[in-house]
Amino acid sequence: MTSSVPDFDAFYVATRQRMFSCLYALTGNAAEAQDVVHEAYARAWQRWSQVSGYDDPEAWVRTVARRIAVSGWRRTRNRLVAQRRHGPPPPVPGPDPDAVALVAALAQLPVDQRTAIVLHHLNDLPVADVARETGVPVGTVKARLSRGRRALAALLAIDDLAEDRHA
Amino acid sequence: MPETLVTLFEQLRTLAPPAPFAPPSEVRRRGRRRTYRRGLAAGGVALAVGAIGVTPALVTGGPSPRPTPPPTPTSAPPSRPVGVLIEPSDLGPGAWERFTAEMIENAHRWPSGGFCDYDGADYPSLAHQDDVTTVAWKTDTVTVAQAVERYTAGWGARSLDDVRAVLAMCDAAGTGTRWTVEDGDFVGDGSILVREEQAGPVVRYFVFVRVGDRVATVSVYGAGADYARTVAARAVARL
Repeated sequence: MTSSVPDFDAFYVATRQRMFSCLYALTGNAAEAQDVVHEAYARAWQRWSQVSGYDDPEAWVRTVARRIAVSGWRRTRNRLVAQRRHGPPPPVPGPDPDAVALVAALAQLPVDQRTAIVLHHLNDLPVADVARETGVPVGTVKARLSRGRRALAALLAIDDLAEDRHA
Repeated sequence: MPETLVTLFEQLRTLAPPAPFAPPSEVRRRGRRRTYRRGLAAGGVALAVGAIGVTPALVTGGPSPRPTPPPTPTSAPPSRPVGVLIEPSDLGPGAWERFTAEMIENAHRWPSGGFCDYDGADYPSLAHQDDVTTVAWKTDTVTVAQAVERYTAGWGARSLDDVRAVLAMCDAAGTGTRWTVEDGDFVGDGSILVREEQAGPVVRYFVFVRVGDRVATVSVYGAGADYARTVAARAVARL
């Protein structure tokens, strides 16, 4: 990638929906997730000459977004900023009760299991990539996926959440 | 992949945000405003982002570009370390490569996703955290990650108290993963050495060190307690 406005704009448009879905699944708050996404891309633009040269710029943005999202004080600030920009968060982000239920269930998982589940099952990252992005061994990721899926099954009353053959 | 999860996540993938996405021009403008604000703050506290030669890439924790040859390792710490984050020269010989470690780049700081059923309320000191910067390095066999936090005056010590309280709670809860405090107050103004053992066994060490109201958390995977102590001492020298 080159350091250019069209390249950044194209990258942003092509990846922002996926980024929003990821952050919404991680934070449980759609308005906050959207603000976090915008902030992460703003930081990517600050460093576009660097980020555009990475093997996976989207992974960089996603990592930055996740870090912003789980930061305690930023969560509070962004919630306030998001409310000023968008109004208070709606009780549901859209007419999709299943998505809301999934997000609510994810919110009850420990953050490491939630992150592994979202990166692997929502972002379709292979387990090895999840391990690399989260900086833990592959075995740890597999354990988190296994525990997370079991917990989701219980929370969502699903009985066919078998072990992922590829994990 | 389990069909039920596929269906559920598919719905999530296409969920519209609550408001239209900002146009690219607005995102770029926001980025420029951040650059301007950082320029204003650059003369602030020593731990501020971008100070003392710490590059933005180190501060934000982005994935490293194509690895460049590692710096020449040194056998002794620099006499006057520059920058609060550990560097390959602090870690000993090896082809150290920078990477993004989500486990440590988290304001809640706990790489294992929390001790017991993690709850931010277990760490009252976090509300008084003013700044945090992170870095992670790895070779083929060893991973070292660090978070350096700056707390409001008087809250650095409380940060370590919160850690001790959570550790005591987890020991009692029987989570299946064991966290053992192996040593304390061996460096800096306060310190804790913790051994984490998961099924496998998979062992990691965490060292929490404090100098004033600055707290460094170092996690080490693939090396032993003595190495963790050595890296902790190097971290203290930079605080």
